[in-house]
Amino acid sequence: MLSKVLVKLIDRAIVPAILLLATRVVSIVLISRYLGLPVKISKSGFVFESYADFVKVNSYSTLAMIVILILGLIYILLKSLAFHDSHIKPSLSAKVFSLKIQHLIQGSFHLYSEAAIWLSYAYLLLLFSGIMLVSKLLYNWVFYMAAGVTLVSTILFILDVEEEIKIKGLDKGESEYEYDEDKELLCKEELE
Amino acid sequence: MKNLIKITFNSLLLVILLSVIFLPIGMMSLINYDEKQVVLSTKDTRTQIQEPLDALPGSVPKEVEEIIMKLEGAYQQITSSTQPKE
Repeated sequence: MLSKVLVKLIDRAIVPAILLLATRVVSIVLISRYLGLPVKISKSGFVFESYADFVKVNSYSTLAMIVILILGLIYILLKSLAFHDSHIKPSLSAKVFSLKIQHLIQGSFHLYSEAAIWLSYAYLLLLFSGIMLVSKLLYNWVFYMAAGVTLVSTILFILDVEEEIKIKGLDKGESEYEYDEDKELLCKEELE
Repeated sequence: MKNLIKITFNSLLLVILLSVIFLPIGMMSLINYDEKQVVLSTKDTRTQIQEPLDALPGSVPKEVEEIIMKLEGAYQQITSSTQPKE
């Protein structure tokens, strides 16, 4: 009754959401303390005394979120490019099993649902930092960094999806299994 | 009926998913700034106690007082000379 995809996406979204949220709050506190900037906590959140302080803390805090996002994306990209069960190298597969870290080898459904979540966070962060840049509440380079990370990770995921399509033969309209062709040929031979 | 329940449950799941995704991004607006105002606001001027001019202490210097008296005299002379005779 419940959509399997939606349940999986919710399941995959909880950890990055908590990670990013915690990073935002903790980074604001730590950065303002490190820079010795006075901050008040009120109903509207963290309130800084001046615009310059606000921009500084906001920029570095967004940067901390981007760093967490980069780490998450690297982990997912590594799994999908190197440990994807459809195209993992046999030697690497053997090594992974010998090291007992076989949980790294995952299927497309698991990997792509996770990638969709992390990429959506990347795009939302890019959008929000763009709005803040236009409102002059963020340093330029933070936005460019978010844009770079989003662009590179999107390209790498597209490459992985293309690889997957090539392996499954979906680009030629072929069947998923190669032996189907053989069967067809056998049938033709038999007919002849 | 079964379809309706299915759609309701899945819509609920979608709402949960979107809220989980938007939560950390929405929390980015937790940070604010409050620049101190240098200029007095209209409220401040209203609450200020305004002293009437008559209540000012008699600290006007004598020279200024003499000048005022001279000017007043000159004004009265001008007005009396320009007034038409009955």
